[in-house]
Amino acid sequence: MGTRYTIAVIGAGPAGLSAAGRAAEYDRESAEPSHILLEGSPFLANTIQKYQKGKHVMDEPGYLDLRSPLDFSAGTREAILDNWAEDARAVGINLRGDAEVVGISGQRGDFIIRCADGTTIEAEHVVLAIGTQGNPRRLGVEGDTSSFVQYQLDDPDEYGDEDILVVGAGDAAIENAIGLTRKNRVVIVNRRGEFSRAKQGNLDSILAALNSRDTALSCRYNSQVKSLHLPDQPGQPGAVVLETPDGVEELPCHRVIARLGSIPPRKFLESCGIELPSESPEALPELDGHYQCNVPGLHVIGALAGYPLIKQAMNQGHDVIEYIRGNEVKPVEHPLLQLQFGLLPYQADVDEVLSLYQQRVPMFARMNALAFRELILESEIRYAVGDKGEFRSLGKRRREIRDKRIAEIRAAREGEDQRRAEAGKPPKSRQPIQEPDITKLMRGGDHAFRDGEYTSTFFTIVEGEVTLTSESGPETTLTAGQFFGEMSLLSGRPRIGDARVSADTILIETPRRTMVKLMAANNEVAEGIETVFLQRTLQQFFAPSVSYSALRDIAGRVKTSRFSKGGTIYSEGDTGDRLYLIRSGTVALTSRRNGHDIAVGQPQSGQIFGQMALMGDPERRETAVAAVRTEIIEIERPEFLELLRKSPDSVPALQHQTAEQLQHASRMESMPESSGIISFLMEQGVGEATDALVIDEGLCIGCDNCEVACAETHDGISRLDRKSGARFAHVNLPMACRHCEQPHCMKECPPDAIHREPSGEVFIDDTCIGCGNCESNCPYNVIKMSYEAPKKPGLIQWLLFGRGPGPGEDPQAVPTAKSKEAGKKAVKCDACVGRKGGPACVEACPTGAAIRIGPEDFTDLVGNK
Amino acid sequence: MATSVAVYLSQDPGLPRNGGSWQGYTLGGVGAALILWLAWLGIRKRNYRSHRGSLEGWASAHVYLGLTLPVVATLHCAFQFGANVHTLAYVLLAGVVLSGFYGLYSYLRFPGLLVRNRGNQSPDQRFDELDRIDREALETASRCDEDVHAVVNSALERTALGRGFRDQLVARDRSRVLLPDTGKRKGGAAPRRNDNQQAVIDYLVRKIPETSKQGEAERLRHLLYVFGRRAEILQRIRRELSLQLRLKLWLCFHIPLTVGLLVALSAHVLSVFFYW
Amino acid sequence: MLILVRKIRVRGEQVLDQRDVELTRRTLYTGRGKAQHLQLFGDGIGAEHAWLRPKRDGRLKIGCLGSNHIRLDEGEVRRATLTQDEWAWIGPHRVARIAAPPGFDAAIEVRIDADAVPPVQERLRDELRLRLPGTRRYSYLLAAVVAAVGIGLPLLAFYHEDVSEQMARYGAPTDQIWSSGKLANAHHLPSITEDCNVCHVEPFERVRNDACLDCHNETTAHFSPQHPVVEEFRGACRDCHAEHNEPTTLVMRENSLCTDCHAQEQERRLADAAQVGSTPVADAPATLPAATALTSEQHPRFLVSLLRRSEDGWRVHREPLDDGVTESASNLKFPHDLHRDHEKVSLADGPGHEDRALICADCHTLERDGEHFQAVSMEATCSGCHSLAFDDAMPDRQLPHGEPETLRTYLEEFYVRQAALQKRDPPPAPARRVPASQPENRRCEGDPLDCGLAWADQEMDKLFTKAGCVSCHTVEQRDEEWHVRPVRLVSDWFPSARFDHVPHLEPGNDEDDEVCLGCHKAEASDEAHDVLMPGLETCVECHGNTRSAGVALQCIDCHSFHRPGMTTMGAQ
Repeated sequence: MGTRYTIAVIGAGPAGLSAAGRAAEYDRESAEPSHILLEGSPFLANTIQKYQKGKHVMDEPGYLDLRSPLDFSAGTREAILDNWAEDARAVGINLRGDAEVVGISGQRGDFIIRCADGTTIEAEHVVLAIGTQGNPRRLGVEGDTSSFVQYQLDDPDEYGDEDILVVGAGDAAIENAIGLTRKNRVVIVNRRGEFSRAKQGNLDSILAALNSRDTALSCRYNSQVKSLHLPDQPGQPGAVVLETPDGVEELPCHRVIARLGSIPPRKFLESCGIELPSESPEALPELDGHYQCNVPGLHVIGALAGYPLIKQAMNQGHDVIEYIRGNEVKPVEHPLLQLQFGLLPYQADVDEVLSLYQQRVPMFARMNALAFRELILESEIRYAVGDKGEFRSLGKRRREIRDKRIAEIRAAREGEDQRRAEAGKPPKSRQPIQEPDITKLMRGGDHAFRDGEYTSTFFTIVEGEVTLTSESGPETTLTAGQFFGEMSLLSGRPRIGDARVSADTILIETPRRTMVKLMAANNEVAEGIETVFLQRTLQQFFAPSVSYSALRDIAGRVKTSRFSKGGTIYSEGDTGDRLYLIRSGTVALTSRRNGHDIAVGQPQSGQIFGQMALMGDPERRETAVAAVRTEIIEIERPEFLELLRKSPDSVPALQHQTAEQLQHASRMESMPESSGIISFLMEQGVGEATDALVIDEGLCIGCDNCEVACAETHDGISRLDRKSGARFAHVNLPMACRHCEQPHCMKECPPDAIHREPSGEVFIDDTCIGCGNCESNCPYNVIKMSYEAPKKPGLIQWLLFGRGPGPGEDPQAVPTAKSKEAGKKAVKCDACVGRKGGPACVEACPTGAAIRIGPEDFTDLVGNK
Repeated sequence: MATSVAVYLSQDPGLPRNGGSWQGYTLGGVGAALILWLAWLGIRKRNYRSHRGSLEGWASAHVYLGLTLPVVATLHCAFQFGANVHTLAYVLLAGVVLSGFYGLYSYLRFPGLLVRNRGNQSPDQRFDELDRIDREALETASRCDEDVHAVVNSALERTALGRGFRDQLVARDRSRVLLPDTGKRKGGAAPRRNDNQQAVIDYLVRKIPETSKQGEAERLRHLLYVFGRRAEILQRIRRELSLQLRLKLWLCFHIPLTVGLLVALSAHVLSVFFYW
Repeated sequence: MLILVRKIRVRGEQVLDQRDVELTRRTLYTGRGKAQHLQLFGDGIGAEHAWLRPKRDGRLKIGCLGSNHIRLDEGEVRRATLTQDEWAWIGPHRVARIAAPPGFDAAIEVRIDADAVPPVQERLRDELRLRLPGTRRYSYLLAAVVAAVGIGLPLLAFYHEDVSEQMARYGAPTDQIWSSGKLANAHHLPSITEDCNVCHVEPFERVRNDACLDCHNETTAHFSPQHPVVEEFRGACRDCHAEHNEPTTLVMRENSLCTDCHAQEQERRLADAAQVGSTPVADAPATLPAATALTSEQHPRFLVSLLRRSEDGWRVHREPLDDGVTESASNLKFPHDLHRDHEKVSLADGPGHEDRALICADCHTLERDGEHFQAVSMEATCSGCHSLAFDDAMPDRQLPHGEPETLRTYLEEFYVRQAALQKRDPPPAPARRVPASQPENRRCEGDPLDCGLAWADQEMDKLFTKAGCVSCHTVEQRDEEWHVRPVRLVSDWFPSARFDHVPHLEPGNDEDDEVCLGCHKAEASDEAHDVLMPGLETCVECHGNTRSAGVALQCIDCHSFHRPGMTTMGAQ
């Protein structure tokens, strides 16, 4: 029988430490600690321990204050770990290491926690803070739990002269594989065709290693582990059966190292009686406002509660103890919410408003309260005011609130620094104070967005109404509880039609990344949005005159399918029974003429193709291949006919569109010479570009003025690389951002520093923290991490006396200590957003070789040649 | 241009046409202004914040006005030449314009040649391929017998690209290779010429029939291919360099001449008013 | 010595492969360069890095070239002598002398770091850099040369006489190269051509008049000084004379140079033309009408010199020429029409020739200046027809052409002699009675002296009343004595203009009168006082600036700036 505690915290990660710390502070008086912190590994914060040496740990989100007995601020792994160890000792956390918890049973008041070593612990409340890192994603094949497969590699050099199979394409997998090749023969198995997920550095090294004949490393692309032949006894070589593009392959090897990321420990959670909302392996337990799961007394915080960020987790650790102690503390983000609701015409308190809104919107109604809170925090509240005078006075209020808030933050920071100074600690390095997020005001009749804007936020109406208008079709009026803006959210295309907000309307504007995260986590939301998207898309294309709600059942019947780059949608000669509507991506249409594939068209998202099959010519005259990752809505004959029946007047428009496409196709067919270039561009992924820089080598005199101009207009660092651009015929596709319609770089940007102008330019603002995610996410290597370039002598000095490197980026530039200290930041082409003369590269080209085009201009590009 | 001719002809038949008449001064002024404006392109080109016209426009204007300049200048001097600073300035101007012509020509001609030479491969890709193929050669050679390995190694190490101005211009191949010491030549194995990798290829060709080792012939055949490909890549890289050089070479005349012209121009003006 | 070089490529501690090379030499060189015996790549390895020399005593001597160095356990050194199996680091590679296998004098083992082979682009960065000549350097070079030649040396020459001589001797460019053209032939004098400063005295100052006047102070001016209106006339030589002005012509011929002033009416003074030839000018228009071009409108009527006889002698009157109206006195009788009338006057060029009418050239001979004609004189011109014989009995007896007194004396001597001879041997009495009036019939009855005087008297009266002097001259009888009015011909009709007859005469036949009569209306003139000078219209017919076919004339073709009889420029 083990000892009994009031609070047992499981997992000494940031969340657990913080919780235990808070508990320890309460225990100060009592002689016996009433809390215990159980950790499976011997160290604190095991996950962070596993980071590579000197890794810079960030303290996002910046807007959130830290509320925890343990101190935390951005810094190196070592600094943070030492800091925590010290603080843990200081507050007197009662830690038991090497105590892996294998089961929790019981109810509030009497929980029984079983550890791996058989000991049990009794506790009244349990705080589960084990995170997900402890639970790697498994291979998912027979025997993936055996010692033959390992999900963790601490020291590559402990193995020698072995055949090792590394599964995975992430940074961890690459680092492991390369580390192992020093002494072993390694095969790395990549589920995809390239290592696009890896950071640039890792990408380069893995490719180099693969190319090098001296390193015993090879790769199986587009392959997956099918099954394992376990060795008869450990140490003996076993074998792995792979599913490769060229068939099944069996590889003998000594061990398999799988680095596939991590997922919540479902089994364990369920064994503890915790219910998970969905079947997806990423599914997280549902919690109430006190982080309590369906098992009363059992609280879940940290990554497992859906908060992967350290600061959030630590705050939760603090709060959860307060809740258990029965103090209704307001969560740390409470003041932020107050600011957001600050100008709304309510007397109600933040939490009431929150629950009210959640009830208002059916789609959010059954959402986890904390998740909704998170959603609001990351969203903006827009309030359309009808009366002018009121608008003014509110504006004044807003400014006051803002100044007050900033003053508070400044005061808080100074106070903390003072305390630190007294404690003999160095002052924190902080990011500058950000604009507080206060209710955004607009006038009644203003536009939430306009036609053609490249914005992708998602709007939810909680009060009042919004009118959607598009040149085709009638106005649609949405009321409280409905949402809009999902088209751009899903397709990445510019807005279609205007959204006019009427007076006294309140909107929740949610950034794309938040919605994407939410949709990934919450099927209900995903499906809700999906259906409406389909309805509105169908309405827009086939039945403008019909209200979109009337298309619900048809929308239910059409099917959406995804194709990865190069996937064939249909082939020439097939008999087709459906037309396709591109939801996102681009499709390359080629038709075979006397032995040559000739590009005859490249419909992009928001366009239809293959409709001839339903308009009298069932035989496919061309082959359709996804030029990039593409999502397609398939509409079969019955639905099509039904749609046309619903609104016969849309037929002429459809026919007109078709006619245009056919004309375009025949024009393309008539010049097979150019088709080579088209397919080249498609192959280079320009299909998903909206604004790509292309250089006509026939005119290019190699003066590099484009690069120089770029560097000169972007603080000395060129965002384009002309020389190493891919070439085909007279076309040079320099390494420069193409401003993809769904920018790969924009996902996974911790500080959300990458934005898109309404006019379409994708750019990085200076809140970039240099994490390098965008760099590794960009499939076209157009983002680079670099230090701020040092000052250069003036042009005249260079011209006359050759002082300094001259105009343009200086390859030999030595970063100043200051910029070194600031660290590398991501730089990419911003298409000179806001520059009067347009992109500098184009303006500075003396021969007019440099032009910027989107897929729609391809034909012009080749046409005029 | 027509106007300048008109101005020229408008000169009073009463006295000889030359820079001294008011027409002469006008033409001279226009010419000087033109020269300064044309030279200004050097600055404008690097003023990336200016939006006064796209650089393309400036460039074409530069060309066309550059064409009128000789006419204006010739009319200004009224076909009078002599051994003096004035004619010196004129000669320099002619030099500038001619070099400009050549520049125009090379800008029209060489990019096309470069495109053809690149054959859908960027220079970087070429170098990467070269590296790849070199590694391949080394790897294969390391499995061949010793002296082949040695030869291949030295061939790779002593492959020459670029180097000096003349070499780059005429794309000369200065590659060397250390063939095994046949003992005939004293001083041991000495570097031999290896233009177009020919020496190695010959060596390999000689070698293939001699080999008896199992699989060696096949490896050598592969090496043969590799070096064939290598020769091709190297050749193209050299051509790339040479074309690049020729594409930009004219500037090395154009610009100094321009600067010289500016000085000569000021000398011309100075002298005219010094001895008024 | 025969050296074995063993190259071992290693990665970490792992040996990848090994290669042996034999060399027969004492020293071998290592570095990045291709010519090196032992070629090594990597950071900190120079093109020519170091030499290795195996010593007989089994040690290995290493010396670095340039600023390169090698690394030993004790640190970086520039040269070292290693014992066998003692390793020295060259960049990332290691080298040591090892025990020589049999047959070799020495052996060197090099452990080459396999990873230290950078990619081609890296390895050959230097070689692959485009070797474009540095434009800046050449720009400055050319600029400097041009500046020196075009500005520096000339200035030097300008400020230091002696230096410039030196330079000229060595053919260095002096300020001569600033010359914008050849000097006019007239100025091809060493003193001028060799020294610019003779004329160009002050820099940046136009050539001053006195520079010209040094030589040209004799040149006459356009008008005398203290001109009533244009005393502010600042005219400088260079206004009308351009030097270095190819093709070399000194004079600017622009009308504007004249019309600047003469476009307006100008006040003029007699002093500007005090006399014509030797005849003083009596009067002339007080103003000089405006003249802008040679047309009947823009050019004033010609001012012709007319002779008048007043009590104090001959005077010239300048008056606008008015065809057929203006007259000029000469006290001669000469009808041009009669002389041109073949019926009345004819001439035979000699025996055998048939006689012909007179032509202009019979009387008028062009002067050498091509403008004026030799004055017509009795002796040279008229006497050919108008003989001075008076006594048919003695046709070779000629009267003197001179003053009446001389004539009377001559006649008295002659007739007194006649009478005396008759007295001595009287002629036989005529058969019948003849009138005594006929001179040949005269009979001196009394004293021969009286007879002679009487006869002379009769002859005088005959000459001055009937035929003789009176036929050409105007005569008068005062107090019993005959007088001939003094004769004067206009020496220069248009003193302020120049006209060259030669180009106007049709070359070849200056016998033909048509040319002359084209301008001088002689056949229409029956009086000596007629003025046969052509007027403005005549010139304008061919030379009017307006006439397209015409031969346009500049002002200075007729009017020269430097007018004879004026004070010198120097006096201005």
